Order: sequence, then C-alpha cells, then structure tokens
Amino acid sequence: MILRNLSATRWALVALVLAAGGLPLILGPDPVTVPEHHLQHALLLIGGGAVGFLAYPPHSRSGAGCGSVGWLAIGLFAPLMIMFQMNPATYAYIEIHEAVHTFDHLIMEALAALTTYAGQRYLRGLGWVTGAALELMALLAVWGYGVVIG
Amino acid sequence: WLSLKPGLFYALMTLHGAGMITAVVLCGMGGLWYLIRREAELDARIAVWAWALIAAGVVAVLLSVFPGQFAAGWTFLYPLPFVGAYWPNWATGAFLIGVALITAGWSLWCLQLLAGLLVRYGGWRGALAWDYVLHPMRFAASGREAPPPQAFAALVAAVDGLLAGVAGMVVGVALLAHWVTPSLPIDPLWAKNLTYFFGHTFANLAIYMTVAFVYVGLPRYTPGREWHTSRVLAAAWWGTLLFVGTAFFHHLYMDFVQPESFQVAGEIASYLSAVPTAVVTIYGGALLIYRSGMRWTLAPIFMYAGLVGWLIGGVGALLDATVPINSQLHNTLWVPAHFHTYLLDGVVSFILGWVFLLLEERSGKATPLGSRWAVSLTIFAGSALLLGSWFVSGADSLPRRYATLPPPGPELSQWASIGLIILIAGYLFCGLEAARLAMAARRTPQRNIGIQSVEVPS
Repeated sequence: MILRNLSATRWALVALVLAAGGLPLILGPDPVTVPEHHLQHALLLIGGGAVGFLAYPPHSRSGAGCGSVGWLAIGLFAPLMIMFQMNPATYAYIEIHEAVHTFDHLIMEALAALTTYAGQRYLRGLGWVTGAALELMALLAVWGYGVVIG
Repeated sequence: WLSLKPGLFYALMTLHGAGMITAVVLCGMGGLWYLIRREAELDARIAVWAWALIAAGVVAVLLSVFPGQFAAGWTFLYPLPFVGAYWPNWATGAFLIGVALITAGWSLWCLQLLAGLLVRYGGWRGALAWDYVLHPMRFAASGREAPPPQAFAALVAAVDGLLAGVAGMVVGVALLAHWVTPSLPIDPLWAKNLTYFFGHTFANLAIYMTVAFVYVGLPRYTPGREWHTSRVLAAAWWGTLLFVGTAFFHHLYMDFVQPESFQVAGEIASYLSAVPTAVVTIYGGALLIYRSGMRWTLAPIFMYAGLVGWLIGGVGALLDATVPINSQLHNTLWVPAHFHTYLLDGVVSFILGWVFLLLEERSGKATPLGSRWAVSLTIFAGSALLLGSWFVSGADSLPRRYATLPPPGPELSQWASIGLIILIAGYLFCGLEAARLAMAARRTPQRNIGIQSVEVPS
C-alpha cells in the first residue's frame, strides 16, 4: 500500500515538474525581468533535481564504494551545460516562441535530473552535493548574468 | 635594469599569476591525492582526467599569452578583458576557456576527494570527526578512529574548493557568453565578487593542501613523536573550513558600493583564519620539533622554514586585512609581498620538503652539511631580499601591477632583482642536489627503506 502510494507520489511530482516546464506553452509570454527569469529557472532546476533523486533506486547498495568515473563527469558537466543553455542573450527570442521556450525548460529539467542522479550513482548522497552546486550556480546567476543591478 | 614594453610586462604578469598558482595547486592536488589514497579508495583514472583537463587549460592560457598577448591579468576582471583590449579577440576566448578547463579539472578532483573521504570515514560526521570532538567518550567506546590530520586538509580543500569552482564556473560561463555575444550585459560588481571569491579561495587552498605534507612528513624526522588528530586540531580545521570561504570579503574593502556587512565579515574572517593556523599548525609544529632530536636534513629544513614563511606572510596579510591599514596598502606592492611570502617561503618550501623527503627515503642518503647551508642560505636569503624589497615598496605606497614604477620603485626593484638572482641560484643548487639524490635512489637496491636509515652527513 505504501509502495503504491510512493509510486503515485513520484509520478505526481514528475507530472508537476513537467507541467512547470511547460508553463510558457500554457500561459504564453510572461513579461518578467532577467533576474526573475533566472529565479524561475532556479525553481525549475529544483524540480528537475528532485526527479533525479526519485529516479535513483531507493534500496540500492549504499556506501560500499564509489561508482563509475562517467557518473562523476556527468554530475560535473551537466550543470555547465545548463549554464550555457541559460544564456540571457537568447531570452528575447525564446520568450516569444513558446514552444522553443518550453523545450528549453524541459532540457534544463532533464539536465538537472541527470545532475543529481549522476551524483547519486557515483556515491549515494553525493547527489545532494552536485544538486546543491547546480542550484547555487543558478541562484548566483540572478544578480549579474545578463543584467546590471547597480 | 631591464626595460620591457608595457604590453609584454602585463602579458608576462598575466601568465606568471595564472601559471604559478596553477602550478602550486597542481603540486598540492597530486600530493594530497597520494596521501589520501593511502587512507581511502581513489580511482587513479579520475585523477588523470582532472590533470588532463588542467593541462589542456594551461595550454590554452599559454596560447592566449604567446602568441595572443592577452594581458588582462590572471584575475580577468570584467570588463577589462573586453574593453580597450589591444590583443586579438581570440586570445581573450582562449584565456577564458583555459581557466574554465582548469576550474573543471579542479572541481573533478574536489568531487572525487570528497566522495573518497565520505566513504572512508562514514559520511560527514565521520569526516569532520564530529563525534570525536563533541562526544569523545562515546566515540572512544565505539572503537572508531578519527581521521588523520591530512584528511582534514583534504576535506577543507574539497568542500571550499568546490565552492570556489562553482563561483569560477558561473563567472567563467558568463564571460564566455559575453565573449560570444558582446551585447550581453554583465554586472561588473557581481563579476568582481565571484572572480575574487574564486581566485582568493583557489590560491589560499594551495597553502592548506600542502600543509598536509608537513603533517605527514615532519614527524618522520622526530623520533618517537607523531602528529596525531586531537580534538583541538579537528575543531581548528572546522574553523578553517568556514574562514577560507569567508575571508575573501577582504578583497571588497575598497568597493564603497558593497554592503557594509561584507566589510565586517571580511575583517572578522580574515583575523579568525589566523587562529587555527597559528595555534594548531605552526605552534603544534614548533612543539613537535622542540627537543625532539630532530635530524635536520633538507626535508625538515624546508618544512620548518615553510611554517615560518607562512607565519611571516600571515602577519603581512593580517595587517593588510585591517581596514584602516588596507586603505593605505591596497593595491601597493605590499600585496604581492605578502602572498609571495606565503607561496615562495610557505607553499614552495612545503613542496620541496616533501620532494626531498621522498628522495632521502628512497636513496637512504641526505645532503652534505655544506650543501645544506648553501641551499638554505641562498634560498632564504634571496627570498628575504626579494620579499623585503616588496614589503618596503608597499609600505612606501608604491603601486602593484605597474610596468613603470615611480621613485623609489626602480631602486627598490634593483634590490629585489638581486634577491631574485640569489633565490634562483638557490633553486638551481636545490635542483642539482635533488638530481644527485634521485640518481642515488636508482642505485639503491631497496625501496622505501625508511627515514631512520638515512645517513645524515655532518
């Protein structure tokens, strides 16, 4: 009973995350500032990261040692790909093309999921580190990437 | 005595800054990885990949300077790499890509080291020795052992290093995006804060990584004594974990638009960062040596001198980290004076100490007394003259990063040059002696014969 509920909860979360990524298609263009747009992306990345944790098998072997090199590389480079994808120079075009905008969001969420999942696959618990690093990068971007605050 | 065109001066200054920091950090990464691998499982392929990324980054940086003539300083402080640049645009991109690759390699190393420590010591509580410090009786009853001192150095390097890597990647990606799309705005103050958090932390960690060589190496020369983990040592490294990440605010003192809380944080963290260093490592090292029957071969000479260099450089740093004094010393030659003291007479000494420890152990021999005096005198006297000239220059308000100095800059620079020539002679002596010991090691039939068997000529 608990497991069935757990699965339902997981699927509900995945659906919620996908829906959040698809908001541009649902709501249309949203006139927000660049910092606000970065914050929205940071929220999407939290959702994507959560999906990555859910994808990791709950009862898998833990603490016995570290996993494959490849997972560590993915956990390191996936956040970089998100940062490049979040290039504010593309915002003007993307915001008026909702389908591209949605696709962009879904890719970000997928990469965020990959970040935490890869961290977990390398070492159970390391997904929190890679996920936190990703989220920190996204939040840091708010104050200066593509915008002059001062 | 030499006259360099300003463009060449700044290009060399850029390459020197980026190159030397990367070089000493690489030494620290390699040595610390080796020390931790003796305690925990670490996959060598990841270390090789980390090294390869850094090596690729170094090549890119080299190309940006020769032939690109990129000369914005290793700090690549926005908007300088893009505004008023007389070097080709590709050189800016090459430099930024190079630094990004170096940061990626560094971050990979940090992640691997962190994972290895967490596995070996049973998670964060174990790696931090939380229970050992706060619940000692329960910890003792559990039969567990606290991590060795070098594991704390590794943990701080991994955690704070990862934070530095995050900052470096964010600002690096932003600058690269700006390089591709020049119309992309970037907040200059935001870029400065991230750049200096990355740069300060990256450079600072070089010291904390290489001090692990002292933790492991110095006790090998003090018969019957060891440098073990105490509750004080563990708690001190908790402090270092926090202060390394927060001391960077002292780079923001002169930015009048920054929040005042940043300045306060910088002052407090900079001062507090000296406490673990002085109380635990330097004082602890002195007590380890005192009346220990120390056998003063080149290895412990360099390690001990490195602690002294760290102390002197640290005093210079604390003075500069005091806001009213910083308003006089900011951007003067005092700044390179203090960090070159840390790096030349601290980090490089620690590295040389470890190298000579390995050579002495594997050859079963040590340097003759006369050569020990020659190496020590030239290196330490040369560095004293070089660094002393810079400290005097800084106290005289001579600016740093100037291709042409106002008087008495040229005169003081001449003294610094003499010091540098003596220092280079010392390093050459050092290199020759290292080569001699290495050849002796090849001829020695047994490997790892232990430091007790080393013949120390009088």
